[in-house]
Amino acid sequence: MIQFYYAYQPIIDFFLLSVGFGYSQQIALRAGVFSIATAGFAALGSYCVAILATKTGVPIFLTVILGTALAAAVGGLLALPLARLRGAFQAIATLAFVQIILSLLLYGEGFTGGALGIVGIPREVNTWILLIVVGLTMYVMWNIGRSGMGRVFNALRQEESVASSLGVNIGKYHIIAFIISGAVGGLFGGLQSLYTFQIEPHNYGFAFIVNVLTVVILGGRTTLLGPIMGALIMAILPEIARPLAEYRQAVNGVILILVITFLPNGVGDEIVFWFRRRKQARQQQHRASEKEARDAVS
Amino acid sequence: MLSQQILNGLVSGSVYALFSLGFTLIFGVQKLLNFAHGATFMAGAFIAYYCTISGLPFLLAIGFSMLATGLIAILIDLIAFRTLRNRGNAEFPALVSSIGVDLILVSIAQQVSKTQVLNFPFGTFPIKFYDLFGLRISLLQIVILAVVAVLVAALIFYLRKTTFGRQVRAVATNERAAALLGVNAQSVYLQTFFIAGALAGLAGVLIGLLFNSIQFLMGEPYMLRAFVVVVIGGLGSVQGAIVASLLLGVTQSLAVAYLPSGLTDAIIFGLLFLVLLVRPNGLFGDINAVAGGTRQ
Amino acid sequence: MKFKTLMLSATSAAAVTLAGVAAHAEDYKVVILQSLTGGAAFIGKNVADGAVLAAEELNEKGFFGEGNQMVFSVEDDATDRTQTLSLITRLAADEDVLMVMGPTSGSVAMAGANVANEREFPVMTTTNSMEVVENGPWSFIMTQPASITMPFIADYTAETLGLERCAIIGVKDNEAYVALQRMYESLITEAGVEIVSQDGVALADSDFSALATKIATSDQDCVFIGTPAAQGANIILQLKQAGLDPSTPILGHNAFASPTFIEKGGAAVEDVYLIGAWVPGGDDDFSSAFAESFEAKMGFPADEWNAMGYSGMQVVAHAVRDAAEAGNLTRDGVRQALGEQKDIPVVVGTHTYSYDEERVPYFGMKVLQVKDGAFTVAPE
Repeated sequence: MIQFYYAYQPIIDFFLLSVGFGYSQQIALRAGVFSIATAGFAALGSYCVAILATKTGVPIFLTVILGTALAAAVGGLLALPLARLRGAFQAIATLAFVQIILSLLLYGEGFTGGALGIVGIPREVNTWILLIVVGLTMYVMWNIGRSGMGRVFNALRQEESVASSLGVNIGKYHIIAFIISGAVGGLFGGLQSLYTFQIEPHNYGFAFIVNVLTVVILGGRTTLLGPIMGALIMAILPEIARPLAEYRQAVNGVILILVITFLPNGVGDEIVFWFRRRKQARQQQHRASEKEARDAVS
Repeated sequence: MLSQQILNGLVSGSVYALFSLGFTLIFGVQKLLNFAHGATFMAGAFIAYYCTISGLPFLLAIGFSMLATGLIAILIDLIAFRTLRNRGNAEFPALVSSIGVDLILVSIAQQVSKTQVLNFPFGTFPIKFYDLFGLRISLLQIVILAVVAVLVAALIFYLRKTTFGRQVRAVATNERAAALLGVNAQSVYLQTFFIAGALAGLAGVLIGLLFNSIQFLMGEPYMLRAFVVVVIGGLGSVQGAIVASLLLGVTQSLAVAYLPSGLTDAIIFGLLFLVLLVRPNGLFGDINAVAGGTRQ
Repeated sequence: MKFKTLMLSATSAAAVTLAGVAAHAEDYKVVILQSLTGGAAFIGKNVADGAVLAAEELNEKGFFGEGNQMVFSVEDDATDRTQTLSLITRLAADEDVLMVMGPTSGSVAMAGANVANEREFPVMTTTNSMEVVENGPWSFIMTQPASITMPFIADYTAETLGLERCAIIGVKDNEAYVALQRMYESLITEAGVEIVSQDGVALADSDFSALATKIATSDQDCVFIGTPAAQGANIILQLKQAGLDPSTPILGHNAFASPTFIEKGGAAVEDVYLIGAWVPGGDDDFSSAFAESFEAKMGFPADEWNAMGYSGMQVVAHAVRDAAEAGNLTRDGVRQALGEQKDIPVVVGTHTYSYDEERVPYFGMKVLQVKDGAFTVAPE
């Protein structure tokens, strides 16, 4: 086990990071917002941490909190204009948001290091820290899912008009979803820069957007298990499909098409749904047999 | 220099128009974003390149490439869109599956070209320059402007005056009502995809020729530009897309010429954001698309 | 993949035959880990091809002594940092592997250096970034940092050509190119050359019409272009088409030293100045012999990166042999020997390769010029 961990530690760490980014992407989709802004949030968080950690004496712990807060605040601000948009336009607007962030990171050379990015970031994050933060994030997500907010998100996703006719303030919930998405994206962005020693704008480009989307689409858009399953498959796939390494992007593409077409809920969600259905069926069966027993007695 | 830069911008803008028209047409009819449009554009340039170097006359290579990209677009519809569309509420799933198609096409092109930058052999198109009122304009630039103008006019004619065009508009406005009137929506979809694909393919060939560069990633910046064009022009609006493309081309040229280098992208996408904020339906309104873009 | 299995089976077949001959035959296990696919493939694949040829030749001529040989395999990280990290971590766990030649460049190289130093495992990255060296004693660089290469072209600009006003075009979204451009700018500014304009293009750009018009209509006596070869050739084509004064000297750095540059640029790139470690076809006995055997094996002429890979493997081989001869055939022994390599015959630059006390490689550069569609040594 120790040997296994030693040899595969980077894969485990990257798996944990992509689970984190997955939750950031998931919460927006869950609330019915077609956002692909997670790349932008992650870039904000990671640059905030990297700049503070290399150029100032701010304690590392605090840099992560500041990065998270910054991304959350930007998420909240971004939600204001987005609330007026629908569907495809939200996707385009969030894509534009990511592009603006990337080009400003490239442009603001004195501050962000331009294309060179920021190097010499202390490595403060290890598997255990990632594991704890992923665990905490899951706990928060779990609570959101169980709360009234989670139910509102589900309603928004399924039928916005119904939600609004029930008197739900859509804008407010979209803003909340975006603040959470920003916070989680910024948090894991910050952890990532404390893990990989150096960051550059390129890390948060189109490939990042596609990877995060794949994790959530493949895993599932509503359950806690979703991003975990998605990230797990995406982490293991390149290892078992080494001969396919050259066609990794294409394999990614095939997965996206197949899953969204034939398994639209994603692997993780399907597993959870299956268990729920089985539980329900058992309860029904249980009730039925109880009834039978009563009938037999009477 | 100003007028020369405006000319440069108009030439680039006219190719953006060719590219964005197909994209906006698909959105107008289906209310779906086809993210693989950039890859179709790239495929057009690749196919024409390999046809040309294997000895096909250039005009024939262009024709073949447009036919092939038209068919690729139909394939995209069949593979990535049809099932989702029939299930309903396809907006987001279709975006995802078209990203999937984009990844596959780009990956194939990367393998085929071994990540090298390709270019049409010298002499594929004669390099000639003319002096027009102090402007330096190449034969290729003139041909591109003319070809785009003719095609755009033909497309507008097709949409406005022919039976097919009326069917396209009917499906765009309300698929169910159109079906009741006996319009075959599937055939309309296939037609719009074919036209969109062929136009994107031609745009790819022209860009590859104009800027001597064909590579597997070439679709990405044009795809991002197309988003800007369709938002400013109004998603689904043909006229809006043309005006917005030319505007974008000129803005870009002038930004490169007069503004600090490196800020061009931030400016363009900032502009997009602003337009979305102020006029979510685009500066030129939207002619066929339903406001807000939700499928009826 | 096919390539890799072929290599392995060839070497293992050799090992079987050799084992019968020499009882104490030793295998020196080295892994060539490069980006064979993905964004840096144009470097990684070519370096690997050159390195493999060198290793084969060295084994064949018994460089490592009677019965001993280098056992090598080629691995691909697909220019993906995650894969680099996991591959190096796994290789470090295999005690037989003495060192890694690679990974390639950019963030991949940096990531590789980090793990290497953490796991005390020598890596010789292809990059020229000093940060890799500064990262720790286990990470080496194979190519010369900009502080060594760029003075060759900067001096040529300011002194040999005596130019005074330069327009600069660089790549804004790739860190390696930005670093080279910055170095050039500071060197020529120090030498009294004025920089009249600075423009950045993106690697995926191909529409340079606006940029070309802007430069063609401005006043400068030199244009420096720091982009990859194909893109640079394209920019020069568009500059000439926009009406740039044909007598304006155009200069570039070592990225232009690739057959692609001439192939894509055609007549437009005639007379362009550049620096290169590799003179195509070779410029002494050793390098000409390499050019010949490379083309015979691969079917196409060697480029700068092939020559670098071939040269790098010579240095690796000397280090491994030195460690073995010193009776210290461990990772630490190889690491120490590598850092002490001096005057190793190579096919690039001024034909000898040395590491200095700070483990900075030096093998010199040549200023080249395109003449009649070929790279030639530029007039002094």
